Order: sequence, then structure tokens, then C-alpha cells
Amino acid sequence: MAKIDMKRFQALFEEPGEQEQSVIIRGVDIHKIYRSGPQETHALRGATLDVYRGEYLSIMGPSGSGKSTLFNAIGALVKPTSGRVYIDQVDIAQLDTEELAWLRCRKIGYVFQTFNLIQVMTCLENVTLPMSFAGLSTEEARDKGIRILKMVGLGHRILHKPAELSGGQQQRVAVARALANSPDIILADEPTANLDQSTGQEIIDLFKNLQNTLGVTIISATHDTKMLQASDRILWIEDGVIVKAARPEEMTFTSDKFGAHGHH
Amino acid sequence: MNLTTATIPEQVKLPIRIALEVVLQGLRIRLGRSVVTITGVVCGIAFLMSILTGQIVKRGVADEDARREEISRIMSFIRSDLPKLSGHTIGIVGGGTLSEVEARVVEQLAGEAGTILALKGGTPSARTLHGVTLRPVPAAQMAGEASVIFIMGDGNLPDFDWNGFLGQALNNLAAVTAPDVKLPPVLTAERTVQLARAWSAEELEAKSLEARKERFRSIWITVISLLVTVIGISNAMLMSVTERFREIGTMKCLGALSSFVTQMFVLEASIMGLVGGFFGAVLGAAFALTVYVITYGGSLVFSALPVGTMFLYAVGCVFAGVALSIVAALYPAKVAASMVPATALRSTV
Ligand SMILES: Nc1ncnc2c1ncn2[C@@H]1O[C@H](COP(=O)(O)OP(=O)(O)O)[C@@H](O)[C@H]1O
Ligand SMILES: [Mg+2]
Repeated sequence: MAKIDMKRFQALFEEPGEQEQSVIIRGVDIHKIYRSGPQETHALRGATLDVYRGEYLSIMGPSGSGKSTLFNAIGALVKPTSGRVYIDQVDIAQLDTEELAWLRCRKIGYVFQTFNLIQVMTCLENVTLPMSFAGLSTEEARDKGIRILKMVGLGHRILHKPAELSGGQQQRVAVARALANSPDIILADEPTANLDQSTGQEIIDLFKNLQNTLGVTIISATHDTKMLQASDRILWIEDGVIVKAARPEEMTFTSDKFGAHGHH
Repeated sequence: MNLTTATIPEQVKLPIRIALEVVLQGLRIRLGRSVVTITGVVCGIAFLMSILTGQIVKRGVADEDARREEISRIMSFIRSDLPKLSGHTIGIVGGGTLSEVEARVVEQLAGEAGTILALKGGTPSARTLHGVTLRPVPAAQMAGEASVIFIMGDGNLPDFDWNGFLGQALNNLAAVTAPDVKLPPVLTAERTVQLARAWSAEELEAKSLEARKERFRSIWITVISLLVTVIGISNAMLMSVTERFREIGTMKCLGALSSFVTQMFVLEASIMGLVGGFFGAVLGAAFALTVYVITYGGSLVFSALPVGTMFLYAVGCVFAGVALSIVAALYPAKVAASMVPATALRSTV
């Protein structure tokens, strides 16, 4: 395994523009084109956004509007076709695969719509796996894993397999796993889409709680207006562009549509 | 950002133990799936092993057939001279080592005739002769007691007064079973009976041609069966890797390095290859032996079986199982490992 070039890596983190202190993720004119044969899908068409440290940001948009693609792009899970993504002022396009792995391991915790737990592992092992990737010893990881699982209310389920849990409980394990290496950011792509109303609300409350107690930045994609109340800010994405930004209190909710008299 | 709290990225190197744990757990939990994959390996290796076993058994049986024919020819010559062997004494003279055929002739003679005399200082050495007690005697005693004198072994004959010896002998004819032994001039054609099968030039040529053809055939069939094995195993491994793209994607999102993913699959493949190779070798050998026992009969097959060679082939097959599994898993594992996490997550194989 190649050694990481520390100097270069640190240098990447060492250009803080003073006035941008509070921006944790910045996306600039992100385009993403998926090509499969002759077929081209323009999933992002110049999305630009700032995410502030410690905020709860919701990304709202209909199905197919590019939420997941944006989520993957700002989460360093795909390379944008063009445009820049900065995480903590680091242009992630400049990172090599090992640095990206490091970033995914410690900076960001991911939560997915389909939970994506590793079925063959117990809840505890799912949570400790990223810790092993970060180089924690088995004992340290175990202790920390148990602590986090207790925190998300699953202290009594640590040795169960995901399949033995309800959807809500599985998503809690996924949240615990996202928290494993104390990330600054939690990226959640429609975390409640596979859950019923009240279970989904519990996950949202859990995120809100994590934001308040740990100061974690929460970015959550959703197409469910009922999940927006907890957020500090909402970005509306349509056809691959951010079309407006608003605060929840600035929005008038109707049954399935909502309007904002907000910024942008 | 706050630089003081920024952790310096340390190399995310994972001990192989973690990969091994993940793999073993995976194999245990996905037992059904693992069994299917291992079965693929078992089938491939069993096929290979049965082909190889078949070849050595066939060769062994052919050799054994030839030996048996040789032995029965020698025995029937003796019987034509001494219809009732029991009670007779047999003498053995010679040098070097007894051939397999000669040793078995001695064993058979000991069983039927009873007493076997060996010339003091002039007897070929042999592997353990079962049920034979060689009684070393001086030349005069042998000449007086032996009904038949055999000249055996592949070495030079002892140097002594053959003339006087055969003159005193009960039967003044010596039976020569050693194929290429150099006889002293006194042992003329009238005083010896050549029992070793002499091959004519044409026969030898035909034999070597047949051997060459046989070698070509066996290489050909081994290559074919290796191909079948490779295809079977790669198929099994490909399935086992591709159906876990999602899991791989998840692991990459959690910070797994590509090398970890590859390492995991290589480990898994070697374990499955080892288990599959072992059972494949056992099953393949058992299958081929059963078929040949039914065709040729158990006694012929088992007396012809070169156990050492078979063991070597079995070990080779297990190695082949491991190696082929690793090679077969390497490609899909590399593809999976180098996949962008988001792509891996989307795949719903
Ligand atoms: N890996 C991919 N390959 C091809 N097309 C894709 C891929 N991912 C997303 N898309 C397409 O890009 C568009 C945006 O998708 P996505 O980002 O998943 O939207 P959302 O999450 O808002 O539903 C859709 O038309 C989708 O079909
Ligand atoms: Mg989506």
C-alpha cells in the first residue's frame, strides 16, 4: 500500500479563506452526465451549493431530479463530469483513492435509503467495521460501538443480525455506523423513504438530536415534505439544478406541493 | 476549518486478520451460497482428479496385465517340467536386484513348492518377499537339492564353477528370468532356458509409438479437463463476487481500500478452493476407482494402483483448486474493488 503524501494532504487542508470558515462543503457548478451506450442522462446541470458547518440541510426534489447524484457527488462517492466539490476546503478531485478512502472513513458518515447494512454481520460488527478501517483496535472498537448503539437506542440489540430487526431499527444501526468514526458530516439519502411515518420521524428526531448534541452537519435528501420541519435550511433541486433555498418557516406546505418565498 | 483538530491521515492498513474474520463469517452465514460455490469447485476438481486417476489406473492395469502374463508364462513353463511343484526345492542364483515379476514368481514358488534356496554370496537382493524364507546354502548343497535353478536379477552373475555346478545339479538346465543378464560362456543355449520375454525390434517400435500416442492422448485429455475445471470454477467465483457488489460498495463507502476488498475475495477464494479441492480430489478419485473396479475387478485395480502417485495427484488437484479459484476470483474482485462506490451501491445483482 502506497504511503500517503502527508505534506500534500495537509496542504490541501491549509487554505482557509477566513470568511468561509463556516462552509464545510461547497459544490460549484457540478455537472454529472451518465453514459450508457448512446444514452446520455444529464443528472446534474450545474448544481451550486454551500453547506454550513453544523447545520441541518435538507435537499428536496421530486424523484429523478438528481438528489442522489448530488448526494454522491458532494459525498465523494462519484466523480462529477465537471465542476468542483470542496470538503473542508479540500478540492476532492485532487485526492487519490487512498485519501478518498480516508475521507469517506472519517469525515463523512453515509446513511442510505435501503440501509445497506452488511447482512452477514451483527449490528455491533456493522458499526465497528468502519472503525477497523480507521485502524482502531478490536477492543476500542467494541467499546465505542456499544456506546454508539446505546446512544441510538439499540443497546439491547447489539448482537442481532440486521435481518432480525425492523426497518426503523436497521436504519438506526446504519446511523450508528455512520457515526462510527465521529464524522463532521452525515449524508443521508432519503433515509426515511423505506420507513413508515412515525418510524421515519424517529430517525429525523435522531438526526436533529445528533446535530444538537454532537454538532454534526446533517445533509438529508428527501422528497417528503413532512420530513422538512427539522431542517435549518432547505434546498430545492429540479432537473439537476438547485432552484431555490429556503428556511422551513418561510415555506407554505400544501398536501404534496410546497411553495417558498425564499432566497435564491 | 479548524486545523488543530484535523487528524493527520494515517495509512488505513488493515491486518489480514480482519479480512479473514469477515470472510469466515461470510462463508458461515451465507452457507447455502458458499456450498453452491464450493460445489462448483468440487465438480471441477473432481472431474480433473477422476481423469487423472483414470489415467494412472489404466496405465497401472496395463502394466499389471503384462506382469501377470509374464508370471503365468514363467509358472506354466515350470509346471510343464514339474507338474506337481509341492515338495520340490527351488534354487536362486544371480546378482543385482529382482524385478517385480521375478519377486512375485519367487513368492508364488514359495507358496507352492515350499523351500527356496539362495546361493550364499550369489543371490539378487529384493524388496520384502512376502511369505518367503530364503535359505542361504553353499553351491554344492543347492546343486544337490534344487529341482530347478533360476538365474534371476539384473546384476552380474557370481563367478564360480558353473560347469561343475550344473553338472552336479538334479536338473542340469538353468531357467533364466533376468531379461538382460550377461551369461558366462559356459552357460550355453543348451544349458539355459530363456524365460524373459524378448522383444523384437518391431515390437519395441510399436510399443514406443503406442506410448507416444498414449502420452499425447493423456496430455490432451488433461488439458481439456483443466479447461472444464477452469470454466466451472470461474463461473462459481464470478457469481459469488458479482452478487456482492452492493456489499462491496457499502464497504467502500465506509472507507475500505480497494486492496482490502481484493484481499477479502482472494482469501475467500482460497478457502473455498481448499475445501472444494479437497472434496473434489476425494470424490473424483473415488468415482474413477469405482468405475475401474467395476470394469476390471477390484483385485487387479488395487494391486495395480500406484498409491504414491495418486496421492501426489490428489495434492496437485487441491493446489489446482486453490490456484484456479484465486485466479478466477481475482478478475471480478478487481473489477468490484475498483468500482466507484456509488455504482456498486446501485447495482442490484
Ligand atoms: N448510475 C446511473 N447511470 C445512469 N443513469 C443514472 C444513474 N444514476 C442516476 N441516473 C439517472 O439520473 C437521473 C437522476 O437520478 P437520481 O440522482 O437518482 O435522482 P433522485 O435521487 O432525485 O431520484 C435519473 O434520470 C436517473 O435515472
Ligand atoms: Mg435517489
